Amino acid sequence: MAKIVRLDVKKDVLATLNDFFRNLLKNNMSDALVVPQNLPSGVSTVQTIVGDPESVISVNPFAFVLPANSADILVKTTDDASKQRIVALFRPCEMRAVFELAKLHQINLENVTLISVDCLGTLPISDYTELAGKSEEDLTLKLLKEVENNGISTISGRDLRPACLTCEFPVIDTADISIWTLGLNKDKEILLSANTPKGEVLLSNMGFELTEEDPSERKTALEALIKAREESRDKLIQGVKEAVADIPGFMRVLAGCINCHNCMKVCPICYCKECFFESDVLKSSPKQYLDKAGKKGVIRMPMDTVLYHIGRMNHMITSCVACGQCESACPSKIPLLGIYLALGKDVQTVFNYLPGKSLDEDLPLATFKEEELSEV
Amino acid sequence: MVTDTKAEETVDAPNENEKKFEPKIIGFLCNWCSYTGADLAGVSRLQYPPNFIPIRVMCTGAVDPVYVIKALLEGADAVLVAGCHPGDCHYLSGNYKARRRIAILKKLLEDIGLEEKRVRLEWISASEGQKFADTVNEMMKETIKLGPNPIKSEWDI
Ligand code: SF4
Ligand code: SF4
Ligand code: FES
Repeated sequence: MAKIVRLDVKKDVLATLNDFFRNLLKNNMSDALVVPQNLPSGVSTVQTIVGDPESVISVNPFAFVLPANSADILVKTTDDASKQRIVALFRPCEMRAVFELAKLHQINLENVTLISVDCLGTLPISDYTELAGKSEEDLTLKLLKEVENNGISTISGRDLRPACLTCEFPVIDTADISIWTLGLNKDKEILLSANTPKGEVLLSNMGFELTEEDPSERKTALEALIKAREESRDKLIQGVKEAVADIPGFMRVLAGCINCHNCMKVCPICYCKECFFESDVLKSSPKQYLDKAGKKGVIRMPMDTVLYHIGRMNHMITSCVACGQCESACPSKIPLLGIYLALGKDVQTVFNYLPGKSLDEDLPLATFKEEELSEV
Repeated sequence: MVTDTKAEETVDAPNENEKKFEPKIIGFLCNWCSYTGADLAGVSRLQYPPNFIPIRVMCTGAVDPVYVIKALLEGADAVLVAGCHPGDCHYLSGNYKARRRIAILKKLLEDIGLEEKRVRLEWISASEGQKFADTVNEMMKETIKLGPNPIKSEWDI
């Protein structure tokens, strides 16, 4: 049974949440907030760090756009000495990256309270800003209504990002608190579920009374959503596996790569200050270039496309949360999400590990068993 | 430490086609065990092929899979990573962690159609000269069966 607070929706769901977060700061429940807010132009929604209740003006975790996986904000704003309290609101894929980064000792969660939200998916940024630029009314509220009536794969005739279409974690109920809207009547109320003692304390300190309940409407809606997502995921994985099944196939998929390394730069899991693949270790001298060309006959420039991709996967694929930011940032539209999903599943299955599912399971690369992997 | 035996003499009679192919194998050998084991194989005049290139590392736990990939991309037909037996790693758990990394690498290589057999992890102690020679000879044989590493000849990598 979950521990629940019901928030009445008066004006609309966004205004209710905005009040909730503003009150957190006003009542000194936290020193700072990390919350997504609409930009003043209304054309996009971005993560913000807020230190003053008067600056909590347009909290919006339901916008159908996710410009970044912003888990790294907590990498930037916490360290071992952190004393300041932070309440942070993330989508499920961001939350899972937060869990991975905490396990990688990049985030100190001691004074952080994590709040997640049921997520219906996001559009490519350019699609979203185009729609928002044209919309007269608040685009989020308009699209929320549209989704309710029309299903979950396309919005205003546009496909969701592949990562969202194939997302098996549209909700994550292991954050301290989760905001429940799925299957519920958002025009009437939203539910806050306290999933940890920390979450409970925060909600009780705010004066809310928690009741024990488990709304079946959400369960039913969630099951249907996950089923649809898993079906698309399996289809995508199958297609990608066929496409990359041999070296020529793999090279065809990577043909357009321009080695910009955007996919690494936007990846929440790639936290290294200097990426190995941009370090001096892999730099070649003038002589080495020409020697290589002499030996091989011809080399592709820039070099090391496969080394970068397979190498990066070796370094981080056990923690890939399938947020698809890599694919969204790729100027060449390389189907990176599908590649990371397909190859990631294979690797993660070896260690029976689901990245970001919880804080409890050890990272595959940080631990080992004495008796295992005898086939290697 | 490398004997001058020809590859053909150390493998079972290969067919005409296979005869021409002399696989190049790179070995990342742990300083504390397998590297000495390889040395022992050399001084004991145990036969193993000349086109095996040993690289000394301080522990299998220090072998980033990226170097294994680099070896495969730049001409190796197979790669051996060899280190201390379980329980004997000088850094306690380097070899166990190496085993996980190699397991990941093999899965990924398999998925893009590169035979996982081209990468091999073995525990070979300083006194196991014979095991070292056997391992390399066996790898030679298997690699000849697999044929040249398909990715090394692509130039668009
Ligand atoms: S590799 Fe891509 S999908 Fe995986 S965590 Fe990084 S950005 Fe997200
Ligand atoms: S973002 Fe795309 S083009 Fe840039 S390195 Fe990654 S795969 Fe290549
Ligand atoms: S010291 Fe030999 S494998 Fe670690």
